[in-house]
Amino acid sequence: MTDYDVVIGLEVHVQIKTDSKMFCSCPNRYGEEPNTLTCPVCTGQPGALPVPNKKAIEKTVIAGMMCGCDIPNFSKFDRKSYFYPDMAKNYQISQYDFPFCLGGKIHVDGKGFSGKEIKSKDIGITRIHLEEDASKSTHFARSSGIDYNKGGVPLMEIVSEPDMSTADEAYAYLSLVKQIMQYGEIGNCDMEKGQMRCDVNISLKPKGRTELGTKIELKNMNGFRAIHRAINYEIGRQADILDEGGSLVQETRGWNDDKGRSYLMRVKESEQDYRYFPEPDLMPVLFTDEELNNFRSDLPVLPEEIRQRFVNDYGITDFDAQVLTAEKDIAMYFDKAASNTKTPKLLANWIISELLREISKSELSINEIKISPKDLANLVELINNNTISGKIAKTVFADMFATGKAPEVIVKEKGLVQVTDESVIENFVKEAIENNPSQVQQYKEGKTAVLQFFVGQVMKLSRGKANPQAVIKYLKAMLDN
Amino acid sequence: MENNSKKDDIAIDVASVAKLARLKIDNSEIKQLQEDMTKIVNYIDQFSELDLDDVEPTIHAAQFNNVWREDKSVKGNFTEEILKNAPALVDDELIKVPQMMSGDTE
Amino acid sequence: MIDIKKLTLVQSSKLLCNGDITSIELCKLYLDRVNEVEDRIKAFVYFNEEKILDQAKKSDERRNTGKTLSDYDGIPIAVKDLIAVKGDPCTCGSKILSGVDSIYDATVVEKLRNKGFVLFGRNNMDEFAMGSTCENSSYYPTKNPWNLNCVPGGSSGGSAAAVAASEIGASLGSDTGGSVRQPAAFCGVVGLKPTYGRISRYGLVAYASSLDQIGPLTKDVADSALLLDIISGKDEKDSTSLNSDNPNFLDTLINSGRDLKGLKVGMPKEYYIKDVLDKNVQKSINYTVSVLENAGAEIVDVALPHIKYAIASYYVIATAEASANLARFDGVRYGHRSKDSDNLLDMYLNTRGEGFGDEVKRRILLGTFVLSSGYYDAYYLKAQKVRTLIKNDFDKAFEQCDVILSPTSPCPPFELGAVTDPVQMYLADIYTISVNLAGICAISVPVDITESMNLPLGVQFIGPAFGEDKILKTAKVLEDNRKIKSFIPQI
Repeated sequence: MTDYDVVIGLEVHVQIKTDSKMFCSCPNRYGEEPNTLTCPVCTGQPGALPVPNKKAIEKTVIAGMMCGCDIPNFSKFDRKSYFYPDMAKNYQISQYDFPFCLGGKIHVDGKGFSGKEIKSKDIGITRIHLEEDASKSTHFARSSGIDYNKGGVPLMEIVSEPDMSTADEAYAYLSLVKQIMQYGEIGNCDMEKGQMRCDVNISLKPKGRTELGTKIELKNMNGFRAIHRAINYEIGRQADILDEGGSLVQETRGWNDDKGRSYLMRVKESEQDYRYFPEPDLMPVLFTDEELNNFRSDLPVLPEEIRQRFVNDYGITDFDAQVLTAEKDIAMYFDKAASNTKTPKLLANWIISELLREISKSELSINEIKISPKDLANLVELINNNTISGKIAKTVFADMFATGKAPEVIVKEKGLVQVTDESVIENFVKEAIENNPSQVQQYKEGKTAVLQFFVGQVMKLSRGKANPQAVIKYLKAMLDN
Repeated sequence: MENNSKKDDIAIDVASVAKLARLKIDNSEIKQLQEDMTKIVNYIDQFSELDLDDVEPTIHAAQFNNVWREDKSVKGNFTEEILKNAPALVDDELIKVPQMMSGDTE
Repeated sequence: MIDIKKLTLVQSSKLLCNGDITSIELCKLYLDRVNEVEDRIKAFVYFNEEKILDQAKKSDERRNTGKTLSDYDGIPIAVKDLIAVKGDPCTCGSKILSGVDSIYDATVVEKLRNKGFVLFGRNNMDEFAMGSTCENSSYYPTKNPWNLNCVPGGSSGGSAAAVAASEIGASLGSDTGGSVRQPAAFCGVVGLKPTYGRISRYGLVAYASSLDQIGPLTKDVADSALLLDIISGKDEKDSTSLNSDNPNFLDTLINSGRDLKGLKVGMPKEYYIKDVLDKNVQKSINYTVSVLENAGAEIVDVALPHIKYAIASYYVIATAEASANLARFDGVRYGHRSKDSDNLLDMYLNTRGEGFGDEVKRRILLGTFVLSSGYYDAYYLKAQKVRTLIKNDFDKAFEQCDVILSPTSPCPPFELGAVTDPVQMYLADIYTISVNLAGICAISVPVDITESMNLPLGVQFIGPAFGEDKILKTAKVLEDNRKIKSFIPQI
C-alpha cells in the first residue's frame, strides 16, 4: 500500500444553551411535543421578522475567545438561500464574510482514542460563526414530516483548518471542543440530543505531494466513536481505490454505523449557489475594543487551567487530571470532593475507577447521582483513618450509590467498622491457625502462598472486618514460630 | 427600448435561474421571459458607466448597530393555527411534505 | 347631513366624541357607499360586514360606558391586503396565499386596535406589491374612481381608490418604490411614505426589506399626520425600526403657521428636463410653484446628479431582496400547494409556477439572477454602491433646501392595458423610487385636475430623514391654498 498523507478538516455545529431561540422568543428546549415551540417568526409566516438573541451572540464571542480566536469589531448576518422544508423561510440567516470569530486553535496531544500517542500539535480554527438551526424532519415511506421546534435554535458553526491527519486527532479535537463548550457554559454538546454535529472532510494524497487530493464529505455520524470508525474506514476505502489506480470524485457520503461502512449520498456536481447577501432585516454588530476587553477579562476558566490546578494543588497525575476534566461537571465534582479530603489522589482513583464506571452503567449524569462530593470524600477519609478497609469500602460505596446515605451511617447501620483491636485480631488469627493444621503444615513446608488462605479464614471469622494489614502481621508472626 | 436584442446582450440562462428559484416555467413562456429578462438586464447594465471603486455599499437605509433582545423565552400559542393552515399533516402534529432525501438540499 | 365624500378622520373623531354619530352609524354609511360603488371600482378583496359591525358595536358600548380607548375609537379604517390582521385572510393579491388567514396582528394593526379603530377590510393590490397599476392582482384590476377605464395606480391601488371613492375614510398601504404615493396621485388623495424605520414592518409581508414602509392614504394632509402619530414608533419585533421621539405630527401641523416664509423648496434640474415632461404634469408643477411662492417659499435649484441610475439600482436591490423574501411561499406550511406532485422538487416548481403571476415571476428571476454566483459583484454590489451615491445626493441637496418638489408620476393616470412593456412600466417610477433608496420621507398631495380627461394630478414633496414635519406642513399649505378645495370624483 502506498503511503498517503491524510488531510482532515472538521465542521462542527454546536447548539448554544440559551433560554430562547436565535431570532424569536420561542423556548429553546428539547423533547417537547412537535410544533409546540413555534411562532410566526420561526415558521416563516408572511410578515414575520427576526430579532437576534443577545446572549447567543455573547456566547459565540466567548467561545471564540476560549479557542484563541480573533474577534473583529464588525460583524453582520447574511441570508443563505436554499429550498428545503426544514428551513422555514427557504433561507437560513447565517454569516458569510464577516463572522464573529476568525482564526484560533486547539492543541491536541496525549493518548488518543485508539491508545496510541497523539503527536503534539495545534489544530487551527478557520472561523466560528452564528446561525439558526434547521427544523427536524422525520422520514416515512413516501412522505416526510416536519417538526419546527428545533428550527431557529442558535447554532454555532466551528470550521477547522484541514490540520488533522488521523482519526485520533479528530477525536481529540472534538473532545476538546466539547470541553470548551461545557466549561464556557456555551452548550452541552450531547450528540444524542442533536446538540452537537460534525461533518468530516477528508482527502488523501501521495506522501510528499503538495497538491491536495479529492475532498470527500462524511456526514451522519452520531457520536465521537462513530466518527473515529468512519474516518478510519474512509481512509482505508479511499486508499484502496487509489492503490488500484482509480480516482475519486467529490462526494458526500453517509456513515452506516451498524454495517461499519460509508455510502454515497450524492455526488457534488457543482458548489451549491447559496446566493449570500447581507440580511436586510438585521442591523450589523459593532463591538468596541473596550467591550471586547471586558469579555476577555471575564472569560470562563479553560479546561487546561483546571487541569493544571488539579495537578499543582492536589498532586494528581496529568493523566488523571485529563480524565477528571474531560467533562466540566466531573471536574467540579472532584474539586468539591477533593477539598474535603487529605488524600485527593486516592479520591481521584475512587472517582476514576469506581464512580465513573457506575455512572456509565446507570446512564445517569454525575449531577443526578445520589452520592454527594462531600460523602465520597468522607468515604475516603474512613479508609484513611482505618475505620474500614478498602475492600469493605467498596460495599459501602455500592450502598451509597443506591441509597444516597452517608458512609458513616451505612458503616454504623451494617456494623462494618473495621476491627483494629489487636487482641481481637490476635484471637481470630489463633483460631484460624488452630482450625487448619494441615495448611499450617503446608506453610511450614514452604508454601507461603497458603498465607492467603489464612487471611481468608480470618476474614471469614471476623466477617470481613479485620484490618488486613494487622491480620497479615499476626499471621506471619504466629506461623513463623 | 429596442425590440431587437443588441449584439452585446448579457446572456441570462432563464431555465437555470428558474430552477434555482424553484419556478416552473412552461416552454411556451420561456422565449418571452428570455426576451423580457434580457431587456431588463441590458437596462440595469448602465452601472458599468460609473466608477464605483471607492464607494461603500449601502445595505440599510438607516445606519445603526447592535439591535438585539434579551434572552427570555415566551411560550406562544400558535400551534393550533399553524397546523390548521398546513396543507397536509402527519398524525395531526407534523407538517407533511413529499419524501425528502435524507441530507439532500438540492 | 354628513357628506361622506368629504368626511375626514379628524371630522369623524369630532362627530363621535360629540355624540353626533355612533360608530355603527358611521360604519353603515361606509357600507352603504361600498354597496353603491364597489361593483364598479373593485377596491376591496375582503370585508366581513359582521366583523365590522361587531367591532363598531363594541366601540359604541365603550363610548356609552365612558371607556373609550381614544378620540378615534369607532372610526373604520382599511388596510392593504399585505398587512396581517389576525383571523383575516392575507393573500397579498396572490393565488399562492389563497385561503391563508393571518395567525397574528401586524404591529400597526395592534396600535390601531388599541385606539379603538374598526378594521374595515382589505384593499386590492398588485401581487406582492409588484406593479404600478393594480393590474397585477390575481383577483381583478381595481378601477380609478375618476375614470373607470383608467388604472388607479399601484401597488396600493385598492387603498387609494377606496379612499378616493369614499368607500372608507383612510387606508394603510405600503410603499417600496412609490406604491403609496403614485396611486395617491392617480386617485386624487394624499399618500405619505415615512422615513424608513419610522413605522414597524412586523406584519407587513415583505417585498424589499430595506425599502418597504407602510404609509397612510387619506383624504387630506391632517389625516395623514393623525395616522402617522398612531402607527409610528420603535417596535422590539422589528430590528430595523427606529427610535424617535414621541410623535405629535398632527399637533405640530395644526400649530405651524399658515405660510411658508423661510422655506426653501428645491427643484432638481434632473427632474425637469425641458419638453420631456407630460404637459399636464408640467402645468401642475408650475401651478404648485406659484402657490408655494405666494405663500412665501423660495424656490432654489438643486442637483441630484446620480438620479438617473435610481431605477436600475432599485430594481436590482428590490428584486434581490424579494427573491429571498418570497422563497417562503412554497406550499409547505400554508397557502396553495400543487396537487399530485409526488416529489419535493416538483411540489416546489408546480406550486410556485401555479401560484405566482407573471410580474412576480419576472422579478423573482431577476433577483435570483443578480445574486447568483458570478453576478453578485456586477449587479447587486454595484446597485448598493449606487444607492450610496443617491443617498449622498439627497444629503447634499438638503443642505441647500428644506424640501424637494417633484411630480409624483411623469404622466396622468392612463388606461388599463396601456402599458405592457415591463421596462417602460419601471421607468414610470422615476420620481418616487429614489426616495426609498435613500430611506427618506415623501408625500404626494393632489394639486390639479387635467382639463381634457378630468383626471387628478399630484405633486410630491420629498423631505430628509425624519423630516415629516416639513413635508406635511408644505403639503398642507398647498392643500389650503390650491383652487380646488376637495378632490371628489363623480362616481
